Amino acid sequence: MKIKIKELEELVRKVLQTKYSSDEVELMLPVIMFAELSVTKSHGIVRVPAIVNKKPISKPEVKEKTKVSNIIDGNGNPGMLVGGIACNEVMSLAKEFGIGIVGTRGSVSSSGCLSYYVEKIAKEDLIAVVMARAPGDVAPYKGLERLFGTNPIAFGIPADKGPLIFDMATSAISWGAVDNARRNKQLLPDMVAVDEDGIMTNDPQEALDGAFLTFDNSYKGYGLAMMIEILAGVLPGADFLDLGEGDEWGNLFLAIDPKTLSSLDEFKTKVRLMIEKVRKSKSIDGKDIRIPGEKRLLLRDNFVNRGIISVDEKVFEEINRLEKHNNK
Amino acid sequence: MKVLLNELKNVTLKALKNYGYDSKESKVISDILLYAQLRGNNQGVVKLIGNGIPKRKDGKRPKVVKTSPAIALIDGNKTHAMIVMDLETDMVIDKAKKIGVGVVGNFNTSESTGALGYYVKKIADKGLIGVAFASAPFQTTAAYGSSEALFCTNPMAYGIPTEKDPIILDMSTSAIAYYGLIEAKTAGKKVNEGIGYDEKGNPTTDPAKIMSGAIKAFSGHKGSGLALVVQVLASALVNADYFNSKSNNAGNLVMAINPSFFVSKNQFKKDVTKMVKKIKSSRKLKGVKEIYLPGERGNLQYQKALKSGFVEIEKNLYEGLLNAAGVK
Repeated sequence: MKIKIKELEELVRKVLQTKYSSDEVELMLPVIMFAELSVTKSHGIVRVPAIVNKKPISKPEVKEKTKVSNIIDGNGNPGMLVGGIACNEVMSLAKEFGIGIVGTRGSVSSSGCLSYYVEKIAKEDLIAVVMARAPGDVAPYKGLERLFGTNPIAFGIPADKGPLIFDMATSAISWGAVDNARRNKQLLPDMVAVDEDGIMTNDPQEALDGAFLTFDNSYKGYGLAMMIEILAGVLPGADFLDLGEGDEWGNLFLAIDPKTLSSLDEFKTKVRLMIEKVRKSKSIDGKDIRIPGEKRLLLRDNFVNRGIISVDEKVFEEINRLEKHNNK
Repeated sequence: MKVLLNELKNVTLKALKNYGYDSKESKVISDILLYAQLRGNNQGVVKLIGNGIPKRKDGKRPKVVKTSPAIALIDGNKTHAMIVMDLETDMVIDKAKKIGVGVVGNFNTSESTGALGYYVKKIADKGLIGVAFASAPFQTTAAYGSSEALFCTNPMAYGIPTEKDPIILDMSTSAIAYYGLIEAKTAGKKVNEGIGYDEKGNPTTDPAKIMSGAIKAFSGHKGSGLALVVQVLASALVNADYFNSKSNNAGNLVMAINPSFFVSKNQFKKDVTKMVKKIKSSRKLKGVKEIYLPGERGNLQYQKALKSGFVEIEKNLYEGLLNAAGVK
């Protein structure tokens, strides 16, 4: 079904407000809307019921560690709220000291689309690196146990005419995509998962019983998945390899002010020149070379301009019911 | 062929002396080259054969041109890149110990930095997390979808302290390291399929043709995105040149994070060690005897060489080295 973006946003705001303070809602809402509008639906409004139904134990706490670093204890709050706080914290640290590092632990759900955070940070003329560890789906290279999460890493780099955004999962496929294929009885692409015996499979259920592969099915992707498990899991004191109790997400947010190393204007000009040089480099199929992040941001911008988006009717109805029920 | 470890060390130092380095400089470069050589990494003594690495006559002492508590920028002043990067490594260790994090970059070096694993291991040996990026304006690698060499091989490395050997992930973002091509060419071998293009953009397995054509970024658009990010961080950000094979102004970036500013140092090492044990003991694919950690196989090879006192080295390569040392 189609709906005005403003209306959708208002509905999500209202339902979130039944459980969270206005400040908290304004941190989560843009993360959810970014995913919905950039057609990363698995992190969009579909997450709202769980966020509203799962009541946190207490508020997230910011614990100062050093001048340039903080840890945020999520205290059982949704990852998108904890991520929103971490994002603001890391920006203020980097603006004051040239660099900031913020770790998070104790989130009970995903921090959402990392592109959202790195775009926000890069638009403030800071370089952003954001990572997330999640409960396990992915086997190490040559292994078949689900040890690592889909463990994404994203970079945001300030540039003329808008930042360069690069956001990648270290897994070959996301949990959402596999779950979606299972529900819609579709096959998975080749080389993304193995069944419980370690045989390559295209069957989503077999993949869920077995393990996903890293994006390259090789030692580099496996190494990166492990580094993210360490930097966004072990370092901030969150869970790792699901050795703790219950599902716990963790993050690492890093922001660097490019002015500490370069002239900001020159840097932004250079990055834009690099992007255009890559785009126009000699192509194999005659098409422009794809620049990371552009497709996603373009989708988002187009929806924002049109003001209308199509959403999953069932999800929408559920949120509507929840809002009416909670606001009774 | 088998060579005495001590002989290899002596010949390496002699070759460096012939290239014009004093004994202190030779020691640094030789340590970095042998770190790679003894671990079966192709960033070893191959760098000393052929044109080798003659000391630049116009080189001066590296100079810190920008500094703040956590960050610094160095003008390499045409000193050998390994010497400059080693200095950066010492600086980030110092900063991370004091303030929790350190980032130091350089520009104005022209040689390859060698195996980045060396630098991040040095950081991890101090109980800190090390991250390193290296780039150069030298164009060897094409973006995904292109056959035009734009990027350098743009490696990155991570070093993680554990209760035993640190975990060292050292990877180029290209499908093969440039020295992998040189090594294959020297040995008269072809490289694997799917790694690169000749000058006209046709796929080839001839290392010489790939050197005049382009290496692919590793694993499609994700590897290509990482290549672009490394090029930004280790060239544009640190005032080095990019996408210009004629330029001698290359750059690097090193970072250290002190885990004891987040969780206690012992807790971090303990948790990473726990992670390692879990990975090593996890179920394996059929026919797989062992799941190796990043850097583990190299370490095993290194320990073997230390124990036996002998090193296995390719014959043409060793003869080239003897030539460079002037002992043949």
